Amino acid sequence: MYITQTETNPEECDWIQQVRRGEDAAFTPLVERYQNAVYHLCYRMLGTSTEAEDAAQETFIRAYNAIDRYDTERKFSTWLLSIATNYCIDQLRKRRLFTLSFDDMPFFDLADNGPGPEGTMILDERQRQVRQLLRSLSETDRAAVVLRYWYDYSYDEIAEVLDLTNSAIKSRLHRARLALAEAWNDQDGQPQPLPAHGMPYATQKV
Amino acid sequence: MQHKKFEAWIFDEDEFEAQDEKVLRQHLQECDQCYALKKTWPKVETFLITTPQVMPAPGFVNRWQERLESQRKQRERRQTVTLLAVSSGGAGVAFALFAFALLLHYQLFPQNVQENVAQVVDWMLFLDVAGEILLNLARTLPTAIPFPVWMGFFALTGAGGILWLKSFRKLAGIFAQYQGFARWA
Repeated sequence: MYITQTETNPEECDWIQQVRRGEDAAFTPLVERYQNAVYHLCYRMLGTSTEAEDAAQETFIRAYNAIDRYDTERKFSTWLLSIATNYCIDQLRKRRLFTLSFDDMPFFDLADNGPGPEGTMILDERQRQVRQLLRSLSETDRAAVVLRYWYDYSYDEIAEVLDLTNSAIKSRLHRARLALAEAWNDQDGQPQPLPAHGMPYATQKV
Repeated sequence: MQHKKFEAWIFDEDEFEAQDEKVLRQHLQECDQCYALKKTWPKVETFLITTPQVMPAPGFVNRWQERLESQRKQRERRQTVTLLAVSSGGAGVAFALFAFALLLHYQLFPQNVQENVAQVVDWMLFLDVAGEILLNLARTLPTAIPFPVWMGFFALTGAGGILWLKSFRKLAGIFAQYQGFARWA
C-alpha cells in the first residue's frame, strides 16, 4: 500500500515546467521518483520482469514525448499510470492475438528483492500465485484490481485512469472480486506466508 | 439482484449499517455460495495487499536515458533519410524536367513523339486539367524562356539545395551537441 499523496507536488510542477522549456534533465527526477510505481504496475499487468521493464521504459518515453499535453490540473502520477495502464492493456490485447499465455513462459528473472535464497523462493511462489489469480481477469479488470489493491486508488481515481465511469469501475471490481475468489478456490495449496524480512516495502501512494 | 447486494456487503463496496449485519448473517445461513465467499474473500484481499511490490533492476534510470537517446538518434536518422530521399527525388525531377526542356528546345523530339509523350502523360495522370497545363507549359516555356536563363535557374536551384542541406546538417549537429550536454548535465 502507498502513503497518500493527493495532489501534484509543487516540486514536480517545477520539473515539468523545466522539461517544457527544453531542460530535458529535469525529467530524470520524475523517472527516479516513479520508476517503482510504474514498474510494479506493469509487472502486475504483464507478469514478467522483462516485459514490465520494457513497458515501464516505454511509459516514461511516452510521458516525456507528451509532456506538453499534460494537464497540470491533473495529478501527475494518475496521468503517468494511465499511460502505463493503457500501454499494458494494448500489449495484453496484442498478446492475445498470438494466443500465447505468459503463464506458459518460464520465469527466472525476478528482481532481487533482498531476502536470502529461501525467502526469494517463497516470494517467487507468491508472485506466481498472484499472477495466477490476476490471469483470471480481463485486461481492464486486472488494471482496476491492481490500482485498487496495490495503489490504494479510489473508484474515482481508477475511473480517471481507465477513462470509465465510477459505476463501471464499481461493477468491474465486483465482477473481478468474484473471479478472484473463484480462482483462489481453484488454486492448489495455500499461499505462501511472507518471509520474515520480506514484508511489503514501505512505499508511497502515488 | 438480492444476491449481489450481499456480495457487495462482503466486498465492503456498499455502506454497511449495523442492522444489515443481522440480515447478512441470516442470508449466510441460507446461502452456501455467499457463505463460501465470505470465508474466502478476506483471505484473497489480505493476500493481494500483503504481496510485496516488485522493484525494477538497479540502473533503471540509466537504461531509460539510453533508450531515449537511442530513439532520438533513430528519429534523427529517419529525418535525414527522408530529407535525402526528398532532395534526391526533387533533384531527379528537376533533372528530368531540365532534360525534357532541353530536348524540346533543340527540337530533338520528332513531332509525333512529342504528341505521344503528351498523350501518355495525360492518360497516366487521369487529370485532364493538369495534363493540359503541363502540355501548355511544355510547349510554351522552352521557347518563351531563353536557354541561358534555364541554365541559370537550375544552377541556382541546385546550389541553394546543397547550401540548405549543408546548413541543416550543421545546425542539427550543433543542436544535438547542445541537447546532449544540457540533457544529462
